[in-house]
Amino acid sequence: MKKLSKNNVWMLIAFAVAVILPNTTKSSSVLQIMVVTMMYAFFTTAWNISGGYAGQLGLGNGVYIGIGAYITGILFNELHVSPWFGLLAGGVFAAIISLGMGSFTFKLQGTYYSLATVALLAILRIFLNENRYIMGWDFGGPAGLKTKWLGVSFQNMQFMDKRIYYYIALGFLMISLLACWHTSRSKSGYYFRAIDTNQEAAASLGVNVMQYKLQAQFISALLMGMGGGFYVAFYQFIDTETMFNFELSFQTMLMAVIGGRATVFGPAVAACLLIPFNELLRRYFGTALPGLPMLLYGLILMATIQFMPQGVIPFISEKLERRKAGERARLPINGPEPGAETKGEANTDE
Amino acid sequence: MNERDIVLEAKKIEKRFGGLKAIDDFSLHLYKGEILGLIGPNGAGKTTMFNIIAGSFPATLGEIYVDGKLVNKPQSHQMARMGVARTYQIVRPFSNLTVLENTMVGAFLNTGNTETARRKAREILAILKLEGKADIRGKDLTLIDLKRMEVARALATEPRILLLDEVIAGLNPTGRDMVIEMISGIRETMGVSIIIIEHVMKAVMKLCDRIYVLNQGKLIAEGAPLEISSNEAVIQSYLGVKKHAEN
Ligand SMILES: Nc1ncnc2c1ncn2[C@@H]1O[C@H](COP(=O)(O)OP(=O)(O)OP(=O)(O)O)[C@@H](O)[C@H]1O
Ligand SMILES: [Mg+2]
Repeated sequence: MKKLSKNNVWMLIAFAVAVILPNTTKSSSVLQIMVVTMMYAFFTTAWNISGGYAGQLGLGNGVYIGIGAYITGILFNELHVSPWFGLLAGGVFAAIISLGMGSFTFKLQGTYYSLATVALLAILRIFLNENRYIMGWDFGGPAGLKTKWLGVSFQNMQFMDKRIYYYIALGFLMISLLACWHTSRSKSGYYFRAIDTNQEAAASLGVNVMQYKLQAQFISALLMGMGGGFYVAFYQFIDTETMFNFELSFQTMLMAVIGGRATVFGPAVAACLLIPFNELLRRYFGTALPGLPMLLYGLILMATIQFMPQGVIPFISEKLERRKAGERARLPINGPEPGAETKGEANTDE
Repeated sequence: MNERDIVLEAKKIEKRFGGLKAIDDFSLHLYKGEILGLIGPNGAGKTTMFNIIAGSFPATLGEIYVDGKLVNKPQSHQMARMGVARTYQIVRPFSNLTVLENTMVGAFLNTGNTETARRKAREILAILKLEGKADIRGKDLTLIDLKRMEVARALATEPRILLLDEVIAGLNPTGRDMVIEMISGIRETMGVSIIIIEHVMKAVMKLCDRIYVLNQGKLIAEGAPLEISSNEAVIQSYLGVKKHAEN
């Protein structure tokens, strides 16, 4: 119980810092970074359920963010649907698309699903570039979709004060962290991780692999689609280039991999470290050295995979565990045979 | 034991891998509460038979019946739900999960509640004397413990039929005795019917009520341990070779 309350204390401190943080600055650009950080922490935590726990490295999963963003934006512009409802619609729509994609690609291999989402990115980008008007609604084509400014209003999710966006994003992050936390200790979470490590063994224990993969994907897509709705409300502008390029998907995945897939807080922590770093780089070197942020990202990723293949958070917590367990871990707990995968060949001795 | 109750039956199974007939017109049945042995030389088709019974892949021909009911296009997770659990000759642990968590994945078959699953898993680990390793991750286990963990995981699904693929081979004599004891314990306390694939003859003779001998996919003998060990065909194709090697 002591250990548990210690963790709770850390969580409370982190939460308190997150709440106070936007009040420590008046700079609009610093606030901007804070909002973006929260938003990405939310994206990557949402990705973590299917990509982390269930181990489906969805390379094009950002497509669900784009779908949510476009649906929220178009519903607002054309039908004056509040983004609060728009983002729900966007999330549900994205989740349904993910079910459709999953049901015909999961029968093959995990990679096909991943490739299918990447293909969907390209298809949507081209389709929206070529078709500015769909059912008479203006999606903006290659020029992008700008949401109408109707003045500060909670219902329209339009604010001058960026702190409000920050708190909304923080709220979403909390929801996705809760979803992850709940997943990690529920039956689904155990099944997801089992599927991730050994699909066949999972099936032999009664896990309907297809059903649980779809479930993981559904939750991630739902949350990411909702995040897309927030994205468009915050930026008040989206275009096919930013929503349906590979980078958004890639970053989302990268933060989770670096922070620790299948850990509740790892991806969000990585986002809190990497996004400000990335934004600062972009601000100061962006025009002079446009490739630099991506290059550094690549280096950080390589270093993580080399030295902490499970991600930063599991690496640290394992270290701490080891230190605490100290002597117990050093005792010879195991018998003579070390190799696990080696097969006991036909035994003719005895 | 009621010898009339057949819990599992495989009828006229054939399995082809390309040109190779791994199983050729083989039938078996398993009585309730029985420990059945499936033996034969390497490549005889024993593991292939388990894969068919457990629904890992379909047979080319033939049918599987559980409790007298035909199973249409058996799939792994469905077979598990019908009460068939198995271990793998080449172990397939969830290596990032602990022994307890591995076992919980099995226990979740009959509950949606994490605490219930954890309690059930602990019970199973206690029965198999694995409690001491509950918090060790799959990737840090030795082969013996991995095999025992697979048994724990399978038992946690509360099966009625258990398929054990070479859980004894590769162990030292003390390990063997321990696992032999474990297997008869499972039958006694849990009322599970068991099929074991094993090359260690002493164990097979000691544990099994009945034995099937396969060679190149075909049945060459079926009967009680004593009948099998004196069967000419079996000695010729399998035991003779082993006797020779044992001396
Ligand atoms: N998935 C597969 N694809 C192709 N051939 C296979 C496959 N599985 C098994 N075989 C072949 O089928 C035959 C029977 O193999 P199986 O693994 O069932 O033998 P076994 O009796 O379990 O042998 P051992 O005692 O060595 O474990 C072998 O010739 C093997 O090479
Ligand atoms: Mg085999």
